[in-house]
Amino acid sequence: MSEQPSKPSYAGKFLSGIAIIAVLTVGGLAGAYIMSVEKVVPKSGHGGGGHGGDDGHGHEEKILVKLNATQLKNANLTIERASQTTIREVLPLNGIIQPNEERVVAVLPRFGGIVRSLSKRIGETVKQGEVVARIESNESLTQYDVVAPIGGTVIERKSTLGEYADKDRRLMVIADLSTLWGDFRVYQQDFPKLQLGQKITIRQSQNGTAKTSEISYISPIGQTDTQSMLARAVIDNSEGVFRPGLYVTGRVQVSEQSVPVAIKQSAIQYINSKPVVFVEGKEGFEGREVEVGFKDDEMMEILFGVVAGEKVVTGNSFVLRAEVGKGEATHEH
Amino acid sequence: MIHRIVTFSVLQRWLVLFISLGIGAFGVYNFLRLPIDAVPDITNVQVQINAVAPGYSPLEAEQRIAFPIETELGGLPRLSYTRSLSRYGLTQVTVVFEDGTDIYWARTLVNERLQQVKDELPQGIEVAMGPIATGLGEIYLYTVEAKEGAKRPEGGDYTPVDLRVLHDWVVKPQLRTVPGVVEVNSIGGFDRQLHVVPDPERLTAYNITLHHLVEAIAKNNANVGAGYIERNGEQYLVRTPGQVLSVDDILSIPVGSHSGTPVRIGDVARVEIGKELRTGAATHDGKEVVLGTAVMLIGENSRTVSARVADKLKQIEKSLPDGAYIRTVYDRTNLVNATITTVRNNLIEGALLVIAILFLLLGNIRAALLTALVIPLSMLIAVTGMVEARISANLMSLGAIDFGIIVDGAVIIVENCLRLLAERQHALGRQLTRRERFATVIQATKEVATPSVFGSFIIMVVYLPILTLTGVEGKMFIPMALTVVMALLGAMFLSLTFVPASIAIFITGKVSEKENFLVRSAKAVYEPCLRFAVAQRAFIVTAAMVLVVLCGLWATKLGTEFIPSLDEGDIAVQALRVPGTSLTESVRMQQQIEERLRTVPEVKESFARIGTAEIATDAMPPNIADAYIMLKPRDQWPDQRKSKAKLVEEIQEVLEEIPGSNYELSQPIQLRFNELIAGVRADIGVKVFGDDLDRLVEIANRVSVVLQRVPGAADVRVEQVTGLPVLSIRPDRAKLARLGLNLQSVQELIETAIGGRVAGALYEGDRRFKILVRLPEDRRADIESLKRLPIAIPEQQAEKVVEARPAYYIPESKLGRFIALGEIAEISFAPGPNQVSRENGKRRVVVSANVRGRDLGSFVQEAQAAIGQQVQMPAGYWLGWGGQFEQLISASKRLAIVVPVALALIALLLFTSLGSMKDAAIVFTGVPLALTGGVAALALRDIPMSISAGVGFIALSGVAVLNGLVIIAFIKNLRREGIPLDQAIHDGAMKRLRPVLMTALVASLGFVPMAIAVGAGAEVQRPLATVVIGGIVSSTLLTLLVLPALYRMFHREGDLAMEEDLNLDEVETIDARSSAH
Repeated sequence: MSEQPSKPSYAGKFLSGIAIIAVLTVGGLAGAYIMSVEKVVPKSGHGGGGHGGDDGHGHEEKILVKLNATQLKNANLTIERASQTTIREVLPLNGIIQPNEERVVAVLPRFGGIVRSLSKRIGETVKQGEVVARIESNESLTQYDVVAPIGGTVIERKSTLGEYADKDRRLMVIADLSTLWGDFRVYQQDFPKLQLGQKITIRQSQNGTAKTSEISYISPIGQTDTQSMLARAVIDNSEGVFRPGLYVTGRVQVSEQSVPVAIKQSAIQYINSKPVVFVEGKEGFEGREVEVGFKDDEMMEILFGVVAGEKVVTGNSFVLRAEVGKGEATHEH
Repeated sequence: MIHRIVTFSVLQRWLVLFISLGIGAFGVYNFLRLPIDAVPDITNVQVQINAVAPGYSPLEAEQRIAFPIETELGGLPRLSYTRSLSRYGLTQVTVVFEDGTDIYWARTLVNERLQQVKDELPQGIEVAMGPIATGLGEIYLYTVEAKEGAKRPEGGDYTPVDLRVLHDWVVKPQLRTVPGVVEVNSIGGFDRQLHVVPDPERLTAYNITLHHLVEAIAKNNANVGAGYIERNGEQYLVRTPGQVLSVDDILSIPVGSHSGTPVRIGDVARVEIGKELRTGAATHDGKEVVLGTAVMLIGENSRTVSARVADKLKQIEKSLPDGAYIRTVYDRTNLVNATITTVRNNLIEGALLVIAILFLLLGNIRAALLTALVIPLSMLIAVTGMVEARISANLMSLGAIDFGIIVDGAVIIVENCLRLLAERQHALGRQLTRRERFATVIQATKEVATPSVFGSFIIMVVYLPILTLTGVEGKMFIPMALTVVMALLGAMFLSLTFVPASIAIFITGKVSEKENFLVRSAKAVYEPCLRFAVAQRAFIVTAAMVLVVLCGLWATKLGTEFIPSLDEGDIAVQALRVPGTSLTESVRMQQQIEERLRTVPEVKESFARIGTAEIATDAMPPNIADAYIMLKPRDQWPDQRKSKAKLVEEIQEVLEEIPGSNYELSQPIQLRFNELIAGVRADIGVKVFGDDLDRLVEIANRVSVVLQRVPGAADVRVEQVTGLPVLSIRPDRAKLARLGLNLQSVQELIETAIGGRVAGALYEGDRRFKILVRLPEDRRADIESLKRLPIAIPEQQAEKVVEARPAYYIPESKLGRFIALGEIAEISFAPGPNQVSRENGKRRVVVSANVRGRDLGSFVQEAQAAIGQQVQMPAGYWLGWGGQFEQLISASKRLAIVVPVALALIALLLFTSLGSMKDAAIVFTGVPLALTGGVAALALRDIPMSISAGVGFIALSGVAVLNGLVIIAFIKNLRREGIPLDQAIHDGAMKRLRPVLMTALVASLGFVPMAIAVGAGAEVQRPLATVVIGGIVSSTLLTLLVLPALYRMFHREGDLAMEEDLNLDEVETIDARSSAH
């Protein structure tokens, strides 16, 4: 290891000079190449925002939801055609059963006297002309029969045996309960809908038997304390199901309309608080703002926005609403 | 100093050995106490206050709850900021304290203030502080399910209500007793409630209002104690029991009387077992389930606690009725075990590699073994330090330790000892005596101790900048840096004590003096290269410089990533749906997603939390679901080589097939951290503060328009604050007045009718179920029906209407003095605020944006100017700026100071050890040269620049300097002995070849498994390992070739003597001066 490293010769220096220049040149070229390469931008992990669907803010923009075949299958939509239908609008009312006032008769003694016998108790039925009481007249001191003016049920008996029956005090009241009144309370919001002659289905709250009748009277005077008015229907009670004094509910068929374009109410979604339905088109599902007319429990009339025959999403339409709005969905704290 | 330590260690070798073992044993003890978790805890010090306000809309919740609480919390000591979020039925106030604040102290302060504010809050609001836990708290998730077709003991199928009852009253109370569990949270199923469902028509018939009903139940459901009486010396307690015990009891409570006949609840209402109006639900593989979450107390060991939870659940399962069972869906133990496996593998592989390399290059198995012993010992010392510094063991703090680098110092010492021992034996031609052996060991250790110690110090110093990181980055990387530093300190200490001591004890006998085949062939290749490098030094140095510049340029082209995400093995998907999506719909969508996920072969199961749990640790609205996708172990995958990223991509595709949701994929713990830390996650957040929500949104929209126009802006978003569909029932005051009604009674009625009103509780043992009065489902959900809801009108002392009708006529007023709700209130639909967020006591709306392709600082300046000019702020409204950019800017400012300081420190250390500026500078050149390889390796593997990679560069600079230092110090020693410059360079480099190769091989091979790893912790390790391997290859080549060339370039024959003379002269001058005084 005693060998001394030799001193570089001039030729060596020249060579190394060339080598240095070569290295610098190569380096320069490589540097230029590196500078020309695009910087690698790592993918942002946080919601890129490049999702389909409108952001839901534009009012004038067309709402269009595109689903591919798999998405469509998974969306599980029900699609039905808008078509002509009859819409029956119904108004529910609460009411009370009253005796039919036109079929209620008071039984009065012709002459004042002592009640000697009372043959009918309250609740008993009587035939027309049947004797209901005997009175000893004060004037003639003879007994006479009091007979039932109509057939019906005794609904009130005010007198007792042996008491003095005054000629202007009624002995009993007989009502013919084969027809009854249903008196319904109608609130102001429903006034305009109600008309004489409308069909009403009446149900006693307890048992389910329903009777159909029609509105035969709407009171011209309102009730001050409840700000409501009275509507009346005469009920056929030949089976004796209904009892005066009990509550009933009635469903008035307010309108029966044949409408040219109707779809199920489940089609409606609200986007920017406007009612929208989704119509299947070639490009996808188009959200259309609609104007709704008559409605019943299930169907609604479309006045504007959809024409008859178009395919409208009626089931699971929320999925499309969600697609439209999912750009808005964020979770901030 | 070093001399004395080494001498002492060799002389008292047995003592040193035992102390080392003792320290090791202490380390083992500490290891058992060390909190082990999968990832570092990055949660800030925060106290969550959850206020449950049933039925409150976001606006009311904010006004009545959030505001008073926030106001009260103002001015707390060490308070960083407060923020609040108000949603339907819930307000969450988060109080964030400065880092380092004691959480218990903070909670006490908050609690104190809460007590003061409680009086100001409306009645019926439950205010509670969140559990004492961090983002790592949710360690164990399980579901309570019923077997297919199983029947309840009472008969009938298990309903979600039954399962929830089982969870809340059987599982939860037992689980809460497990030490380390601070809370058990439940979501899903339905809380069992007894619903008193009145028939509104019948109520009107009996002239009873909902209010009467609630009152009647409340007044007929209590046990009362009445003191005691004494009787014949005995004492009798008196009590009057009156609690309702069954549904029948409720039915028979009287609510009033009607002409002498009592009216019981049963006459006007049904009583049924009902479902709460829940705010959250849970699903598992397409079924609705009850999901329980065990939350771990802050600072506990997640592995132990989750193991305890698992044991306890097994016990609890036995107490469940037949047919019901508990299914574990998430267990932190798995992840922690994976972490432990990773760390253990690192240790074992590291040790094996060190042994193999040392054995190959030294040819001495004992030396190899005792060097390898330094690995576990220094590790145990680090563990002791971690316990003291309260650092938890996790993928970050342990996963990134390269034991190759840590034992470098020891390797150098062992190598030198062996070399000298062999040389001495060779020179004497016999085995050494004990004295001679000890002397040789001491001398050999001393020879390289100084450079090795300085080298270790330098590696520690380069970690210094990391310690200045703050925020999330700080919480992630400071523990890692501290652990490495402690391990290095341990290794340094051991290499001066334990290593010489054990060499002295164990390396007896003959030490082979002949270099083995490997070293000889390496030398044969190296020598001509070295000659060429020294001869053509100008070329070599120029080439090296070109390389450095090129790599510098290349580095700017690398992608960047600030914080790496640690792979937790499982996937979390946040499914976001349009605001206003109902819980039922959300559950249905989620079930569809889960059904679809079941067909993905890598997915084991998936489950989700939708909406808010019982304890609102995360206040999610029902349109958001946190879904967890649990993966099968890799060996069950059809394609085991598939990367996680690829799988995530595939899952994203699968999810996109199901319309209606947006998906954000992350990982369970990561997701939880995001929820807790919250704040603005984008680069820049412009916060608009003010009063009126509409104004705020308007200003925010204008800000976003301006921001979008600033070049470089991307993903500009305005926080979604509105869009929740609201049904408003607005009473008409004039009409109310006319009818003599007051607003409150109407509102109460609406509340009772739709939301329900709690009238008491039914007790069944410990269990208690709320008794709620609420309208039947079909009535409360139907708007038309709501319009007809009867409202009682108070009796007016008005004129007696003359009854013109006959007596039998039932007066119409018997229909009840009721009026329909629709008559007195306007019912309308309108979108309302979805959520109201506040920060530091003021409403705010955030506009967030990311910055692409330009630096943050200039972007922020330009954006601030543009917004200042173009957006007019009304009085009472102002802007705040926040986001990641604050972090980045403050971090870069701090680093701009700390990095030069660290570099100066290194230079100082080098100068101290070499005594020459010139030599220090030469050694220092090793740093940029080493970095070139790292950059190249990153670029070739297409890995972005990250803090992890940065840590790799840091470690690398240390290793480069260490090797350079050893070579230069050696050359200097040779020159001091009078060997001529060229010869000294040649000899020194040749002699140092073996240790340099050894350290390089140990450090780089130790990282090879990490560089190609795909398991837990790979994300952190891969960039780091890649950098170190690439860098060490380049740094070794450069140390061996460029360093001698540089040294030769800057030194002339004899300048060493001059330098040292100069130094001596100086010393003499000083001496002379001092003696002159």
